[in-house]
Amino acid sequence: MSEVDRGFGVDLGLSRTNKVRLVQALVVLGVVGFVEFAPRLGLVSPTTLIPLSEMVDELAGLLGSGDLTPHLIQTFVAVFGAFALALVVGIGAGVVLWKVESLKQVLDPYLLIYYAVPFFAFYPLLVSLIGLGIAPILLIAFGFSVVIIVTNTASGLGEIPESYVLAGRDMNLSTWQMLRHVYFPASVPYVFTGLKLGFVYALIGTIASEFILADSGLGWLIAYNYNNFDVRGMYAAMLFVVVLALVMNGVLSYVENRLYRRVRT
Amino acid sequence: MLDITDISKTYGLGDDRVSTIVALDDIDLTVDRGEFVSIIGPTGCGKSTLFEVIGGLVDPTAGEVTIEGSPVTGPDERIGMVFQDHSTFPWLSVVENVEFGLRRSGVEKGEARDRAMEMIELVGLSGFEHADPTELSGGMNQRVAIARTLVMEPDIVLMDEPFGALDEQTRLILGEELLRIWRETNATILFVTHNINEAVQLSDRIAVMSARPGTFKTIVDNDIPRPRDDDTMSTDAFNDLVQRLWTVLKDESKKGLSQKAQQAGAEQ
Ligand SMILES: Nc1ncnc2c1ncn2[C@@H]1O[C@H](COP(=O)(O)OP(=O)(O)OP(=O)(O)O)[C@@H](O)[C@H]1O
Ligand SMILES: [Mg+2]
Repeated sequence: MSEVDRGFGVDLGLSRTNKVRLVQALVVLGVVGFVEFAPRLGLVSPTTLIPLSEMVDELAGLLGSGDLTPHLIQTFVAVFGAFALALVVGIGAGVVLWKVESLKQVLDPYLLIYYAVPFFAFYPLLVSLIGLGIAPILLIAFGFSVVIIVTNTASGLGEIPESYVLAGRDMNLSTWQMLRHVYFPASVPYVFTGLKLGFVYALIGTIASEFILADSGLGWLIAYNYNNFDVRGMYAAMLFVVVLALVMNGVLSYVENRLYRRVRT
Repeated sequence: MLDITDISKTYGLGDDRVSTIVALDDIDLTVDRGEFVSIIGPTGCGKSTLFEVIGGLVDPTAGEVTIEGSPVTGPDERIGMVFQDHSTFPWLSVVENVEFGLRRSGVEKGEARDRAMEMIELVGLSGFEHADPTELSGGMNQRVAIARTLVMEPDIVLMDEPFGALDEQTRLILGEELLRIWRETNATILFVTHNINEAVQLSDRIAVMSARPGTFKTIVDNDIPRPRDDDTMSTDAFNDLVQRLWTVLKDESKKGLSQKAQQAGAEQ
């Protein structure tokens, strides 16, 4: 099979996927380069953006001095607590929705408009209900994260080709074997798409809540530094959030691959 | 050896299951050991339903399927199926797909692997044992599906339009390959196809189904001598048989199409 290459007319002797990777790497390099050199070259004011290396430097300092630790603990508890809860509840509810067709039909329209609800508007309500502290943050982050996991799990299970199921039944698999060797592996990619989004949503929910209703945490720190014109401190905290999101995405991809491949006999 | 007696299947439609659809009506067929029988019929006439009933995946509303006199009551190891849609598991390599059924039924790892390797060779996939199905063409994936079914050594193989999604050239080549595998394994094959030429090329007998409710309009013996090569397909005997089958099928296909239009209309 010959593939028509609509690339850039340059042939570097690379396969298509490698070309895609190359372009992706160049984009990352471009962004990193811009963040590093734009402020240095005076393209943007150093009060708006600081060079990446200075962000790293500041972050290392904050981490080393221990000044960041209480904020990290606060944010980590909220993000990972909310995500863990959303993972368990989300996958569980997704499986139920998939199994109970009528429930899915009833809930579908609500799930569809769920993210149109301005979540953070509920914050005063939550505060008056459960008070300040980490609980309302965790709840908002959970609420923000859980539904994307539910919908991805339910629709993913629904999209497992009927032919996989028929093949499994034809080979006389028990119910347990069907779950373990057909439904589980077939749904892994869908479920993990939900989990990856779910983590990012939990992170957004936490950071955004901390902007408005906390007295510590990375979100609070970003807002605080912003209000006090500490650009370095603000970018250091932001850098940490970005890195956290990327690392977790990598971790989830790794787990996904392991699970998907581990079902290999 | 395989006896299909008075099989009927009625499906309930909609949530209330009040309205029904008669998919199969009084199907009778006897297949001898080692025979290759094709079933052709208009779309929606119940061919897949018939296979699901024979394979024990779906209970018939009435009638019975027996193999050597003993009835099929559920998924049955004496029967292996190959499906039209892509059914190889993308999370397993080729050899893992082929040994999948053996491993699940408790065959020990080494033996399962050996038998899978042999079968992969038989279907002409040597060298692709450790490839992922997603890297393979549709035709190669169907070879994997065929190997996965044959490795279980079923008495009867049901193939539901296994080449339906393939292009004409691949279909012809796989048809010839299937005949070779059939000879080498002495399998008994029931084969559904939309393609009359394919049915005539492959089978000992051809059953033509009516539009829904599915029954057999006619079952024709195919005496064209084997091996049937490319030249056979241009002989008068071949073309006459194709013509004869098409005459029967044509009316039914028209009925099938208008049913489909009605059904689509009713669903809206
Ligand atoms: N699970 C089901 N519930 C309700 N109706 C069904 C079900 N399965 C099949 N049918 C109906 O039974 C009829 C026969 O379907 P079947 O899939 O057996 O036809 P087919 O001959 O295999 O069609 P095709 O050539 O398109 O593959 C169709 O009208 C179909 O809509
Ligand atoms: Mg069918």
